[in-house]
Amino acid sequence: MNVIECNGLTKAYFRKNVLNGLTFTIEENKITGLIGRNGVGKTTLVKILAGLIKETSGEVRVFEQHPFNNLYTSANTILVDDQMFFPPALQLHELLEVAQSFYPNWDMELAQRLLQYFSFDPSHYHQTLSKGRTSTFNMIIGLASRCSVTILDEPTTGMDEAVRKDFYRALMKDYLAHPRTILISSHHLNEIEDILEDVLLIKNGKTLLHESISDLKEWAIALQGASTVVQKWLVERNCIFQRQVGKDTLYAVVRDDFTKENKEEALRGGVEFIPVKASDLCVYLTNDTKGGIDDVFER
Amino acid sequence: MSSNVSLVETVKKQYAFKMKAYIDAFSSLVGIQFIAFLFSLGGGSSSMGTSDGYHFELKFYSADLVIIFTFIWIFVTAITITTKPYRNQDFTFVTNRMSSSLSNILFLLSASLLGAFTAVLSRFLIQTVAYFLLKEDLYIASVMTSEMMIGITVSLLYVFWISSIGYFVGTLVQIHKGFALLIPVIVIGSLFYDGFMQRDAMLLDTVSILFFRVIDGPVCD
Amino acid sequence: MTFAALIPMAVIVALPLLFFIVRVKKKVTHWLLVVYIGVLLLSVVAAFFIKSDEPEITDRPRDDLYEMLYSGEIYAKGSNLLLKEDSFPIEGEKVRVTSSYGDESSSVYIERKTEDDQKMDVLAYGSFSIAKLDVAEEIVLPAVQLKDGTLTIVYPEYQKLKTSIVMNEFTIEQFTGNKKYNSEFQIDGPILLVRIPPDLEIEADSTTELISIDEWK
Repeated sequence: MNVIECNGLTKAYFRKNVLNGLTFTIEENKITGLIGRNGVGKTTLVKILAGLIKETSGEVRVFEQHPFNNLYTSANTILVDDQMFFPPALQLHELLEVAQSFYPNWDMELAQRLLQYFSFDPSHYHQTLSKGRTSTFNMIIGLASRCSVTILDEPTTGMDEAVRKDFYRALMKDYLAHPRTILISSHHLNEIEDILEDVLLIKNGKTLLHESISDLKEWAIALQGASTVVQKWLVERNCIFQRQVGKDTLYAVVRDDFTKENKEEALRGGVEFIPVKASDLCVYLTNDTKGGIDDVFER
Repeated sequence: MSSNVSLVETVKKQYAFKMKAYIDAFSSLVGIQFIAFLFSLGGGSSSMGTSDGYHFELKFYSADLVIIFTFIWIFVTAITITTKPYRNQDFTFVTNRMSSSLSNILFLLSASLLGAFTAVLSRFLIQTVAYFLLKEDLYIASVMTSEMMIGITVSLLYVFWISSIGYFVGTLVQIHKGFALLIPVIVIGSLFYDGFMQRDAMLLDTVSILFFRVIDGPVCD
Repeated sequence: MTFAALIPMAVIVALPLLFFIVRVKKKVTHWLLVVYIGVLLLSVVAAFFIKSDEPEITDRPRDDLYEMLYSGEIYAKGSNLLLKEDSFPIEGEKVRVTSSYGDESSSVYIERKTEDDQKMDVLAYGSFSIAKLDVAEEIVLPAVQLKDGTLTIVYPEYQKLKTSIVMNEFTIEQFTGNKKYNSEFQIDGPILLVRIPPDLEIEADSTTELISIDEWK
């Protein structure tokens, strides 16, 4: 069953399209990573999915309903980001109680154990928390609410390394016990790579790639070898990324559509095939130029 | 795993949430009424003396000022809850725009009720302090229970009405910031305009008719 | 308001308050509210122990004291304004009038009766009100005494009168149609009218000016 469906989704701010005909579907109980560089509309997209803002055009469906201003979506979706507003008059433990009253699947025991584990003082106020602590607390709300659709927008902002690891582990464990549709947006794949099933790559407000993480790992391959030889193999192939490695050696990333014979031939020619890490591939794919930052310096 | 929610249920939950979250409004109510209470104790006296040996002094006590201050309080409170941080709080939890507004209205109604009730009762506090602490001899206008009820009800309606004006103004300002400038300009401008045209200020007339006109014939005997 | 009327009000307040005390976790603001409402309710109870008068507003137009006086009709028409009446039997043919009135001389109005009843009547007229409240009763009037053919008038000291009125709130008045108070003051008099038999001889010392009102009729 598809929980989230987007078809030609467009959102314009001041006539500038942030989302530009985005089309994708997300199945139930999958963990999907929403990857893209800063400013490609990830936040806009998740806000539309959570029903906070309205799309300009196109179709968007969450639980087969239009999410904007929709109570059903609001009750079954939670968006966790560092912009969550909590009333300044309430203490942390009161915020948990409020959340409990709103979210039907709320797990208070989990929330309190997490609060204790991350050594929050329940009588503190949300405003007084530091950036990383705010993210941690918001994440606790997000996990304990057990919403059918849980959207985490840059959830680890400001968290230190140990908390980050704990957080992803907690997310994974809770997901296994209570499967639900989770969408994690991040500009960095490598830290969430291990827990993702699917990756949705966005560039310029459009879906660039929507693959499972295992497919993504085999989606592209890097060729490394003498420039002239490698260049020959790049002919008629769409080179995703290339970099000069030392003198006369070229490193180039292309879509892995080599046949077995191709590969053997290339190997004989001195070309080395290197697997491309999914996170690197995402960086290469979302770059506007083939050479990355190097292009700026090479003229 | 997804669950259905009804509008009524959501409004109830949001109302309960707001009564907790907007609690600071109630502390400021107590503060503002206390200030009005102090003013009421001090103000409102006039005197007259004659050459042949008489000096008369007159002092009025009433909770009118407390009620007026309560109007100001609810107006500010109503505007405050339309501002962005307050709206965003709603959307952290389960809501849509309808339930958010409905629960705001319920909250304002509750706040108005509390404000009107305490404002009208503060008359007894003023009276008690004037008598026991200031040792004043008092003439006290009689008030029957039914009249107290009328007083509380009428005050409630006024306070709630003012809150709706505040909520409306606040919402306009949220739609476009220009209203924050436009509304005071219209209000103050109309006073000046009527002044230039050498006539009574329409706005003040309206207000005084609304608040101070005695409705003909006693409603309760 | 009667004491019994407190009961429904107490119930109205107590129920939500009870609910609140039992159910809600309390914060400073809650206590502030509880204390505030508590103080208000206590003051309602305390208000029952206040001894006070209800202001009696007389809306009838006040008779003009001086107009009546100068038309010579004060005795005939001024019973409303009469504050005190003393009557002394007269011995002898002549009465002297003296008064204590600081530096200036005081005026005493003389009217001759038509028949001789061997009595001298001293009448004090005046009209005193604050905000339409009649305060004449609280005014100390000149003390008058006739002894050994001398009428002595002792004027009181400087008098200060303070009135405090607790008004109903405009939200009540608007619908009950009660009268509004204003800050009018009225201080007329007191004037003394001495009515004497037709042929009694009367004279005053420098402290007092005798004015006959008989010619004004």
